[in-house]
Formats: sequence, C-alpha cells, structure tokens
Amino acid sequence: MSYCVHCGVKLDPSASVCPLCQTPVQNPRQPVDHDSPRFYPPPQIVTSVVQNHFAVIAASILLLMGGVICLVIDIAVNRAFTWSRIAAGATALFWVVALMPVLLPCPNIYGLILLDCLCVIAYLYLMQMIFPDRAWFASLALPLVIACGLSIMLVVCLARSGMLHKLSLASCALILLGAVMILLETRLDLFLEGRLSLDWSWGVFAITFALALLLAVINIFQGLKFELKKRLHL
Amino acid sequence: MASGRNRYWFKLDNAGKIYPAVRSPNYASLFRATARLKEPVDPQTLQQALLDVMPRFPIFQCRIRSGVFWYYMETNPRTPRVHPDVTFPCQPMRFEENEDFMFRVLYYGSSIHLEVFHALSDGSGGLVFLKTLVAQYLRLKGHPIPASHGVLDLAEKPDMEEMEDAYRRYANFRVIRSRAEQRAYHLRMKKLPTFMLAVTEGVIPLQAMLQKARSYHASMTELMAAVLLDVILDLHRCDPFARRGEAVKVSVPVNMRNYFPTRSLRNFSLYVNVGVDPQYGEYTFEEILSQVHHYMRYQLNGKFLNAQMCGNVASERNPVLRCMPLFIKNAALNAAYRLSGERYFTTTITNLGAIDAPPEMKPLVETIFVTLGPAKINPIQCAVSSYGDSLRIIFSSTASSTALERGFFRRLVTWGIPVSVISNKE
Repeated sequence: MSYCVHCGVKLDPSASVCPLCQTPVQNPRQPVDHDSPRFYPPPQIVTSVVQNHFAVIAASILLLMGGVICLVIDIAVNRAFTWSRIAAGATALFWVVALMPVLLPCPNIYGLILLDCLCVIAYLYLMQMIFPDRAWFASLALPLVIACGLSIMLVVCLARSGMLHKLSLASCALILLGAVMILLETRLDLFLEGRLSLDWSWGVFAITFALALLLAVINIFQGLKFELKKRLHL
Repeated sequence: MASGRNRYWFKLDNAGKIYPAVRSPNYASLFRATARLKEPVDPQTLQQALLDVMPRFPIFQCRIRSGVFWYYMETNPRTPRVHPDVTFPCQPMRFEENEDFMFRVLYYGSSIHLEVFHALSDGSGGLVFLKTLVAQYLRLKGHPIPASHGVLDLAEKPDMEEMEDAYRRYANFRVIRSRAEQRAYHLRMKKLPTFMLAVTEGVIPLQAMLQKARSYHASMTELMAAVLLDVILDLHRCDPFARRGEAVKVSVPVNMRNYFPTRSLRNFSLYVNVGVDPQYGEYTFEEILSQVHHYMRYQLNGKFLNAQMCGNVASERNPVLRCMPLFIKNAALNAAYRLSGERYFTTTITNLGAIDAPPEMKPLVETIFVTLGPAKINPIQCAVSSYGDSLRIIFSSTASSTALERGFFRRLVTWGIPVSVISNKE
C-alpha cells in the first residue's frame, strides 16, 4: 500500500498521483498497479449532439419565401429584376452567414470565414452591378473586405493556438482594428479625393494602440491584474 | 394519485416540483446510488433483474409529462435498459435518450449504479430500489437472498403508501416557517469543463469516527459538518473576494421518515442550514462544533420540521402560482431557484447513515453508497454513508481545486484516523 507523503492518506494501488494534491506516488516496494480493474471508467466526456435543425430549417424556409416574394412582386410590377435583387441577395447572405453553419455537422471555422468573405464580396459586386455610376467595388470594397477577413482569421488563429493569454489576444485584436481603420481612411481618401491625407484614423489607431498597451501591461504585472480583478468583479 | 388497469399518474411531490423547472440540457439534479459487488457484473443478468423488479416499483416505471399548470408523472409503457458506465457520474439526463425513464441503471466492472432524477425519489427511496435490484441480480446468479433489511419482496403487490406524497399527509399547517435566512458565502473555484464531475471517495473505519464523535459528545453528522465548516472557513479567510455579511453554512438534508413514519419511496426530506458567521470573529473547532451541535438539536424535532414543511407546501398551494401556465411557472421557479435555491448554503453534506442489507447479501456486496450529483451554483457536494464497518465520505465536485476535500481528509488524518482515498481523476 502507498501513502501520499504530502496528505498522509492511503492511496489506491492504481493511483500514480495523490488525487488530493497531485503529488506523485513513489513507493519502490509497490509500483503503481496499472493492470487491476479500476473503480471508475477512464475520464472522458461523452455527449450527444442536440439537434436544433428544425428551427434553422423553418427560418430558412421563411427567408426563401421572403426572397421569392420580393422577386415575384418586382417582376410583376417592373417587368424586370430591379430592387428585388438587393433584397434577395441580402437574404442569401444572411442565410450563408447565420444559418448555414448550424446545419453543417462539423464546420471548419477558417472555411466559414472564407466563405462569408466571398459571399460579402459577391453581394457587394451585385450592388456595384445595380448601381454602376462609380467604380467603388475594386478600389474600396474589395480591399476592405479582404483586410477584415484576414484580420478575423488571424485573431481566430491566435485564439485557437492558445499561445496568447486573453488580454494579449485582445491587444492584438485592438491593434488590428486600428490598422483596418487606417486602411479604410486610405482607401476612402484615394477613392473620393484621389490623394492621401490621413486625419481621423490616426486618432482611432492611437486610442486602440493605447488600450492594447494598457492590456499588455496589465497582463505582465500580475499584482495589478489581481487588484483590478478584485475591485472590478461583478 | 390515480390508477386504472395498473396505469398510474401522480402529481409531483412538493420537493420534486422544482427539479423539472430548473432542468436544462447541461444540468439535471441527480444522485447516484452504487453497489460494488465482489465479482464483475453480468449485464444480461442485470437486465433481467431490472425487468423483474420494475413491476414492484410503479413509481420508477413512470415518465414525466407536462400538464397545462404542472408537470405530472404517468406510467411509462416502455422497458428500461441497463447501460455501461462510460463517462463521469450524474451526467444530465435526457429522457428521450433513456426510454423516457427518470432513472438509469449503469454497470462498470463490479459496480452497479442507479442514477435517479430527484423529482422522482430521494436517497432513501433510491437505495431501496437499488438494494432490491441487487438482491434480485444475486438471486438470478444462484444466491438465495431474502426480502428483508430494506429489500422489498417482489411477490408482494406494490403498496399505495410507497407511492404517497408524505408531505401532503403530514403538513398540518399549524405554523408556517419563513424560508428567509442570512445569505451564504459561495466557494469561488475554477470550474472543470462542462459535464465533468470529480469524485473523491474517502474510506474510514466507522468505529474510529464514532469514537471521535463520542469524545466530543456530538453525533457523527454534527462532527463532519463541523469539520467541513472549519475547512471552508480556512478557504473563506484566503478568499480576497469574500463579501461581508455572508455566513459560511452547510446544508444538512434530513430524512423526514425518522420523524414522520411512512414507507413512501418518493421524496420526503428537508434540510437544515447550519453554519457560523465569520463577521463575529475567529472560531475554534470546538466553538464551531458546539454551534452546529446545539443548532441542529434545536431544529431537528417534529414540530419545527413540520412548520418548515408547511412553508414549502404553502407556496405550492398559493392560488396565484397554481393558476400560472406551466411555461410561466417554469420561468418563475427557475428565477426563484437562482435567487434563493442555493443562496443560503455554501455546500451540502448528507448523511445516509448505516446502509443495511440482508446478512446473506453482505458477503457478496463489498459496499453500497450514494454520490450526489452536481449542484447548479455550489461546486462541491458531500455524501456520507456507512456499510459494514467502513464509513464512506464522497465528495463530488465541479471545481478543479481539491482544497476542500484535501482539508477535510487532512483533518481526519491529523486526528489519527486512517483515510483511504479513491478518485475518478487521473
């Protein structure tokens, strides 16, 4: 029989560590018995998937009906697809972004972000086709959607890798947000005025950068983090 | 309760009314009764034993249904199945995946587990079912086991008293006690992932513990509640987030059958929340024990318990509550549970006492004990029972820290009481 040198309790022959304090069992006269039957099944979580497809299918049918009704009314009144393309496109975009992931058995997060970006790009291109007066799609919308998509992918990748603490992750997200704002103003300036003069985006970047720095400092100084947690807990 | 051609329907008992309302896909109030045999369990024989005992327990042959105003139970025409135990104890019960039954029988190695949804029965009722099931299993294995010591006779017809709602029978409405109490401190511990339940069993020689309790002129329940309070007070002292005005209290369920005789297999228990308030200063262990001892002796008598029971039954009879449709009632009960259900105690310690079994069964069964399922707010629960000459203290926890369990068992070791520990954690 083995005892925990830290707690003083007698341990099960199959225990390799004390379950109370995690101290490893070291008994040269009685090595850990890996063969005898255990009292409990090995730790594993068994869950069954809760099917919530009914609500999603019902919502999909409603959306489809809405889109079709718009198209029918438009064709009946105007003898062509005019405004109804915007409504039908928005409906399709909403379905892809919000409802389709629920129907997929094991969705890939990067694939979903990529698909969402492609759908947004397609919808914006549709808008450009409907309102062709200024060529804003290639110069303004496309780079911004790509930048947003890449930023989201980067944050998701960092979060899933587990390399960064929550606060460091928030710092990265804030810096990326500031960078996207600079890109937005750059593209807007070039599109509207044909020249670059950055004004407000520097301010946004400065604020997000300062916040990111603050979060990084809090993350580094554990004492400060503890005090803030203590005073701000809900 | 009504019946026709062996089909029954029952109103839920007073204690059982809250549990369906607070049930969710991730949470159900369950407890587990386990019989650990000396030999590995044969699933086919266990299945046959289960089929044999079901007609004797009409209350267990029930499924839960939604009425317009209340849930009710009705006879379930389906057949229960035994399942292998492959995961953590007391997982949330999805009735549709369990042939609509409110209990399940599991087996693993030499253990037979019965997991019961609390709306159906309490620990005493569950133990009667488990012991009868194990006795029948052993009979099928060729061992003559008599129907005595809490094992029901399968040849007898079910008695209506076994199905009664004893709260309604005994609540006399002379005095109605308010349930308002000082709010309690809650342990703040990092949670284990959802669905994980860490179980830590401590096995102790019964006589050593009894001797210790006698030396303090206290009962064993009082002694263990005091040790638990003392350990929680240590944790409270180290908790920078502990608020003023919160007492450290443990909830001690009381088996009402000891005060109001009934053979009911349904819920018939109340609780006493006993504790100390750290605002008054530091407490020695002797002071805590004295507080627990006197408070419990003061509270635990038929008249006080009846007044408490009347308070619970009176809220169920409130005309406004009764007229509410079930979906509104569910939301109201859920909110009430969140506000007051576990607000008045830090943890639970239930003492099932000495679990008896027929002498012919004892050489074949190593032990019988009960494990509490997870609570909604409080992370750690404790169940105590004795079988033969060993006492089993079982902590079930959804917290990653084992500070409470360790503190508790360390205290017993310091007293010179040997403790053997088994856990489902690796």
